[in-house]
Amino acid sequence: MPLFRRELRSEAVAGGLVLASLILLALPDARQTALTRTVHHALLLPFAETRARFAGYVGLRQENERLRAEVQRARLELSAEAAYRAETEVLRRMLGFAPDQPVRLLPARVVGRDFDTLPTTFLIDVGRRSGVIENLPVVTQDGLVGKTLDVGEDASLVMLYTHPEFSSSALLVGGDHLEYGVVRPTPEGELHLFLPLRSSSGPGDRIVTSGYGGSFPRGIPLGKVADVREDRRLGLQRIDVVEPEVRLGEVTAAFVLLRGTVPGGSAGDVPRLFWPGFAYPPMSGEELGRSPLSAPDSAGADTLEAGEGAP
Amino acid sequence: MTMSGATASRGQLSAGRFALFTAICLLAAMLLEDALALGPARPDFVLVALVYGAIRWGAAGGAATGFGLGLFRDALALSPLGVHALGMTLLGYGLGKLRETLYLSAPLVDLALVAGAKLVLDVIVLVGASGGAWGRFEMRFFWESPADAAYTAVLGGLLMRLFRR
Repeated sequence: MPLFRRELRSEAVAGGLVLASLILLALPDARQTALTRTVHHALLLPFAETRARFAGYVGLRQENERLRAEVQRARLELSAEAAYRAETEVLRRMLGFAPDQPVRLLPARVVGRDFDTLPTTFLIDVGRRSGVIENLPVVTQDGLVGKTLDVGEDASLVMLYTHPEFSSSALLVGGDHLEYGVVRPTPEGELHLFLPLRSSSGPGDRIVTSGYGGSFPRGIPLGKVADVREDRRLGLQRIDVVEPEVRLGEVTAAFVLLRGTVPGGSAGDVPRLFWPGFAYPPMSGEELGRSPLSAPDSAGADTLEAGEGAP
Repeated sequence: MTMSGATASRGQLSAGRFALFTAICLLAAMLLEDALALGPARPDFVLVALVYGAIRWGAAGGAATGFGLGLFRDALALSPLGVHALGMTLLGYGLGKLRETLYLSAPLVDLALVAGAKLVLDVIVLVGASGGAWGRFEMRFFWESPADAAYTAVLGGLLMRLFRR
């Protein structure tokens, strides 16, 4: 019986309160709004300042997070833009360079590279389908990069000038004289120009491909003489340390020289390529862009015949 | 299990502690709910106070607590006066009844009760507020209410746990 009374009591209380709620809900809108606002102000006004502070703090925190995210995004965009700008500059220079050449230059993008201490090969995105064959020179607007080694349908492996098997017949332009030699990399990554002992050369002298050897046409810049040494073991050779023109780490695009060479022949009869700043003076008895009648000692020094012509 | 047995086994808070718990819930409702919003999920600390109050005081006490807290919520949310009062009165009564008939001693049951109560309250309030606009009800109930319910249950459970220590 007491339990029944208690249940009745709780239901009566709940029923009464539900009724009160319904009466409140049934009030006219204006009355209801006025009542709600009165209670709202009475409840919240004492806490308004604290609430505003909390809201401000939370707002500041969110603002801070948003700004941080924006700064991060802006930094990323900035670095991406710098990379794009550098690439655009390279492509712009390449674009201006290609039309001046008497040979067909096939543009290619570097799509892969080896990550050894010294990079020795690149993968480019053109291959047989674009007319590429083995042993074609690969250059940038700065100079020689290397030559094609293996050619696939749509990609080719490029032997860089740092490759242990790379060698190129070279011509040193010494202002009033020319010297012929061979350029080869050392295992330490330096590029050396091997010249006969009595040759004369000095720091700053420019070095281009000589056109002898079958792979590279005459006049592609290789670099500058950075230092002059003598071969101390034999004392028969002069060795110049070459500062390469092309920084391989920065190469993202290059050209393949599609002017083919006849196997066993010389690339020297290709009309001289034009690299600004690398024009060399004419020499008596030798026309620019033509092979001299008698090939010098370094003839055949390009990688194809490296075994025979190496000093 | 009798009521007193169930109550004793719950390790119920003292009257003073429970008053402090309720006061903190109400303060949190006024000051922290916006700050603690997590995406679409917003905690409802008034409901937390109601659930634990109804479990403590039974059906009549729960109904009275629900009516008072409902008016408080209506004033706080500037919703039509009586909407939350009605919903919370019914909830308080129902929860009090549950407490009198069920063995409610596990913290997980409390969490389930808080989450369930939030969903039921949303149904009552949304039906009252949407005035038959099913699209609005659907969007709110199926997308926001479940997140609100789960979040409220977790925060309410944590708060109660702090007070039970």
